Amino acid sequence: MSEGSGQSDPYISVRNVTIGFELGANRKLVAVKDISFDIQRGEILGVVGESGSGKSMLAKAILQLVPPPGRIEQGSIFLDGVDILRLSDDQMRARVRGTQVSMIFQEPLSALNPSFSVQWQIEEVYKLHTNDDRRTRRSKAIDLLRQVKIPDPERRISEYPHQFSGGMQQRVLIAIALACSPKLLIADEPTTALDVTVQADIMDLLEEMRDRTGLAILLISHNLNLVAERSDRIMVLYASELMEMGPSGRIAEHPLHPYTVGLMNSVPDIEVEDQKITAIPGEMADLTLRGVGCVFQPRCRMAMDVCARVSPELVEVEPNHFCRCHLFGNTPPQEGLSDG
Amino acid sequence: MDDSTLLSVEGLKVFFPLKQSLMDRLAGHKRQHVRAVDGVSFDVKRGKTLAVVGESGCGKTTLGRSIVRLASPAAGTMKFRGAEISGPKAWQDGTLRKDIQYIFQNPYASLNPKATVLDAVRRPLDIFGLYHESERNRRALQLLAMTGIAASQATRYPHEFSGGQRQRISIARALAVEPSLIIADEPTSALDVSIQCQILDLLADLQRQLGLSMIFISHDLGVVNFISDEVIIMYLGQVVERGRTRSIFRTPAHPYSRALIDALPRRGSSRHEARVKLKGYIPSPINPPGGCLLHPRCPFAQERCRHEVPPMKPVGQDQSAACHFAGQLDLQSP
Repeated sequence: MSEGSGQSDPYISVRNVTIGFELGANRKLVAVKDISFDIQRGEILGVVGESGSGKSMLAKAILQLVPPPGRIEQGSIFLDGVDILRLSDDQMRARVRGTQVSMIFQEPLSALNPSFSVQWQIEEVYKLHTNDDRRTRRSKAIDLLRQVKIPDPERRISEYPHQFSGGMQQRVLIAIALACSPKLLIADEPTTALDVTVQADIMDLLEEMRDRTGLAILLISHNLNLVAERSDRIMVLYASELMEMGPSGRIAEHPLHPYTVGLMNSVPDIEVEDQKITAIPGEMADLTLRGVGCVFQPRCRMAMDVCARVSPELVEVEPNHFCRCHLFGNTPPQEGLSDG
Repeated sequence: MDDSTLLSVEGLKVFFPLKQSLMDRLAGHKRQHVRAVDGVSFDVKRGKTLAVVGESGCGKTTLGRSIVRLASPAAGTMKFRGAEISGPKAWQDGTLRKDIQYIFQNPYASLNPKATVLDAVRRPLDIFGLYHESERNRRALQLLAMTGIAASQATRYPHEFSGGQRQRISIARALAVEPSLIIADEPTSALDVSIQCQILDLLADLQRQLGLSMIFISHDLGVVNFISDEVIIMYLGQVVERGRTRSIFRTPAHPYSRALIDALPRRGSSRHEARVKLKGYIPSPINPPGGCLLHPRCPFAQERCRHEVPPMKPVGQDQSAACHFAGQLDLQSP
C-alpha cells in the first residue's frame, strides 16, 4: 500500500499546515506546526500522539472546523487537486464536509442527538445533500445500517441513541459518516470509549469498508498498538510537531525517533513476561513556550548538545520513512557529531 | 484461611434493585435486580496484587466498591485478617477505613478543588489522629515527596497540576494512613501512555517498599500483566477464569479470556490473524442467560452449555476456569 506514497496521485495532500491560537498578551499557542502529509485512496494513515500533541486539531483543519481563536496560519490542503483552505464556509459545507470528507468521534453518544431517532439522524444527511424522496431516504438508511452490521435494521432504525450499546452507537455514527459515500473518513479516537472486543469489531468494520469502497481513513489514536496494527502508515506527533512518519511495519519493528521508542517502551504488553516498562521522564512541553531546539529534547534520553540549540529537520532516513531528530542525518556541518 | 491471606471474599453478591411502577407492583410482579456481582470469591495475599479484569458492565468496579461498603453486598462473606467485615459493625471504629484505602480512576474528581494538596494529604492524618499535630505537615510533605511532588508545589491547588501529578497526589493521600490494602480502580486509564507508565512504576515501587497488598481493577490487559501476580477475569458479574497472571495470559482456558486477549491490538509480528470472536453483544445483567453465561456468544458452545452452569474447574497448577470444556478446547486455532 505504502509503495510509492507521495509519488502517485494522493487523494489528499496536506502541505505545511500551521495552526496557532492567539491567547492575547504576547502569548501564542502553536497547536500544529508545519505539518505535511498525503493520504492515498484506500489507505489508512494512523496518527499517534498524546493529549496536546495536535492530532485532533489536524483533523479539524481538514474540515476547517478549527475553533476560534485558533486559525490556520499557513499551508494548503489539496483535496483531489483543489486547495480547500481557499473555499468559503458555504462551499466547504456543500462540497467537502459530509460528501467528500466526514468524521467520527470518540464519544458516540455525545455526537448523536438524544432527542431524534436514528432514522431521522441518518436521513438528515440525505436531506442536506440529495433530492431523494422520503421512501428512498428510508431505504438507503436501512441499507446503511445493514452495511455497518446492525442486526434487525428495519426495527432498530426507529429507535433512539440511548437504546443502542456503545459499540452499536459507534456503528450508527459510522453509518451517518458514510451516508454520502465520502472518499476520506477521519476517525478521531473511534474506539477509545469502547471495550477491547468491541474495538476489534469496529476496526474490522472500518477495514472492510476501506477494502470495499476504497475509502481513505485518517485514524487518530493515542493507542500505538491499535494504530500500528490497523494502518498502512503511521505519523507520530509530539507537541504539535511531526516527529516520525513511515510504513507501520517499519515503525513497529524499527522506530527511529527517541520519542517513538519511548512510547513503545512505555506501553505494557501482555506477551512479555516480567517486563520492564520505562517511562518517558517529565511531562509534555508547554506549547506556549516554544524555545529553540528540539521540542522533545528536555525529555529525551539521547539528547546531545546540539538538540537544545538547533531544531532538527524532518529527514527521509530510508525510503518513505521520515524522522525529525539530530541522530539521523541533518546535523549542521559545524556541529561535527558524526560519531554521536 | 492461611496466614498469607489478607482478604478473603466468598460468594459475594451485589444487586441493584430496578425501579418498579405502581402497575407492576399491583400486578404482583417481582422486583427485578441488576445482578452486578453474582457470587464472586477470591483471596488477596499479603504483599501481592490481585487484578480484576473485565469489560464495562462486568461488575469489577462494584466489586471493589462493595469491599469498602460504597455498595452494600446482598450476600457473601468477607474476611480481612480473619475477621468478618461485610456488615456495618466492623467499620464503626475506623480501623478498617484506615487499613483499606481506595484510589479512584479520575483524579480530577477525587481531590477537593478548594483544598491545597498539602491539606488533601494532611487531612487523613488529622482524621485518624496520626502523628503529633506539629509533625503532620512534615509527614504530608514526605508523602508527597515519595510520590514525586516537590515541597515547593505543596501549597498549590489541584487544578494547577496535570492529570498524572494529581494521580500521584491521590496515591500520597491513600498512603498517608499506612494502609495494608489498596484498592485501585482504573488508576491510570484517564492518563496518557507515557504518564500511565510513570504511575504504574510508582505503584509497583511503593508496593514493594511498603509491602502493600493491592486489588487492581482494570480493563487493560497489558497494564494488568505488568502489575499483578494473580488475576480474576469477570463476565456479567461472575468470575470466568482465575489464576496466576502469567499462566492465564500465556494459556487462557476460558473462551472469554481468549477472546479478550485476542482482541488486543498488536503491533508488528505478533499480530493475530485468526482471533476467537464472540458473537453479538453482552446480554443484560437483569436477565442473564441460563446455563453458561457465555453460551449465546461462545463459538465453542454445545447443547450442554445451554442448561448446565459450569463449575470452576482447575486447569494446570495455578489456574482454573468456569467452562465445561476447560482444558479440552483448542483455543489457539478456532
